[in-house]
Amino acid sequence: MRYLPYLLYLMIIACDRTLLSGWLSIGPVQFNLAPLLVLLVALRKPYLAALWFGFVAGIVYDAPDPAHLGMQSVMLCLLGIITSRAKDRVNLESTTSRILLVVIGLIIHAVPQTLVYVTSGPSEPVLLLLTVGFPGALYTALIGWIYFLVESGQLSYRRLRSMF
Amino acid sequence: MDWRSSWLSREKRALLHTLAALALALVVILAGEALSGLVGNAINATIYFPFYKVKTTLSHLALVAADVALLRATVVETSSRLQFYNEAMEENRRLRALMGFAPPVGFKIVPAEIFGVYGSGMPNTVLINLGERRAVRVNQPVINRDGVAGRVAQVMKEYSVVYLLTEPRCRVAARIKRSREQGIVRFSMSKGMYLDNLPRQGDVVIGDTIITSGLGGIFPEGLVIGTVRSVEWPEREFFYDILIQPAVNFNALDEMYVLVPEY
Repeated sequence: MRYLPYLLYLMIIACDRTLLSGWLSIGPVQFNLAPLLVLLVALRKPYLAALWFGFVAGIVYDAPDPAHLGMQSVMLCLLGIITSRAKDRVNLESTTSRILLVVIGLIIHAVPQTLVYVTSGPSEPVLLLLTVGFPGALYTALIGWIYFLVESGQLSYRRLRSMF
Repeated sequence: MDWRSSWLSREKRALLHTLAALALALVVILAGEALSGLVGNAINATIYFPFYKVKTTLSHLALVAADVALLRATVVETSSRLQFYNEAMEENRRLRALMGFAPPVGFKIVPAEIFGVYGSGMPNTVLINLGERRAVRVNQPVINRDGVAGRVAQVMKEYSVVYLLTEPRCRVAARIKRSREQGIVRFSMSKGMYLDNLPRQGDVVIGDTIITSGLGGIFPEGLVIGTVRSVEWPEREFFYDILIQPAVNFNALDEMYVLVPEY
C-alpha cells in the first residue's frame, strides 16, 4: 500500500507518453509530466523517496525508446536531489515559492532533456532551448501552477462559476 | 552528540542511496542494447501495456469512423443512383404499357409533360408543355394510361391549360359500358365524381364501368372514366344518385397524352 501512489504516478507517466502527449502538445512545445511529478514528489516526500522515484520514473519514461534508457533516470534523479535539498530553504506554505521552485526545476531539467531528446527543430542548441525547451518547461509549470491553485482551493469550480 | 551522529548517519545513508541510484542509471546507460532492451520490454509489457491497448483501440476506432463516413457517403450515392434506376425502370414499364395502348380511331397520341398542377385540395388544372405549335387545340381530350384525365381548356404557343375531370366546368358525356345507359359525368367538391341524368329506369349496379359515350363532341367513344362506387335512389327524385370512382388518380399524375385528330 505504501508504494501504491508511486505506482499510480508511474502509470500516469506511461499514459502521458502513450496517449496524452500528442493531445497536450502545442506544436513543438511539449508538456513534460515526468519531471513535474518528480518535483511534486520531492516537495512532499522525503529525500530518498524523491531520489528513487526519479530513478524509476526515468526508466519508465525511457521504456518506449530503450536507446536512451537510463538518461532520463540520471536527469530525474538529480532533479529529485536538487529539489529535496532546496525545499528545506524555502517556505513551502507559499504557493509562489512552490511554483518558483517548480519553474526553476523544470528549466534546469529542460536543458539536458532538450539537448538529448529533441531531434527536430533548430540545430543550434541555444535556439533549440529557446524555441522548444524553455517554452515546454513554462507550459508544464503553468499546468503545475493550476494544480497548486486547485489543491490550495484558490481555484475551484464554484469560483470559476462566480467569475463568469 | 546523539543528534549529530544521527544526522551524519542520515546523510551517509542519503549519499549511499544517491550513489547507488546514479550508479544503477549509469549501468543501464552503459550496459548496451541487451539490458536496455530487456528492461524496456519488461516495462512495456507491464506498465505500458494497457495504454498501448487503448491507443491501438482508439486508432482502430478512428479508422472505423473514417470507414463509416466513407460507407455512409457511398450509401447515399448508391441509394440516389438506385432511386434514379427505379424511376427509369418505372418509366420503362409505363412506356411498355403505352406501346400496347391503341388510341381511338382518327386520333393520334401526343405525349405531354406536366409543368404545373393547380387546385385547392384536389388538383383540377394542369399546365402541359404542348401548345399550338404541336397542333393542340381547345377541347381536345387528354388521357393517361388509366383513362380520361380531362380536356384542353386554353392553348398558348408552347403551353396548354388542361381542365381535369375534377374541375366542375369539365363535364363528360358518358355511358355505362355493360347496359349502355347514358348520363353526364360531373364533379363537385361535396360529392366527388358522379354520373348525372340517369333515370330510375336505368340499369346500373355497383362496379359497372363508366366510359365516354362520344356524344358530347369532345371525347371519342369508349375511353374509361371510372367505376360505379355507389348507387342511391333518393325519394321523390327522378334520377339515380351514382357516385364514381375515377380510373385516373388525379393526385399522382405523371404522364399525360393529348388526343390530336389525325386529319
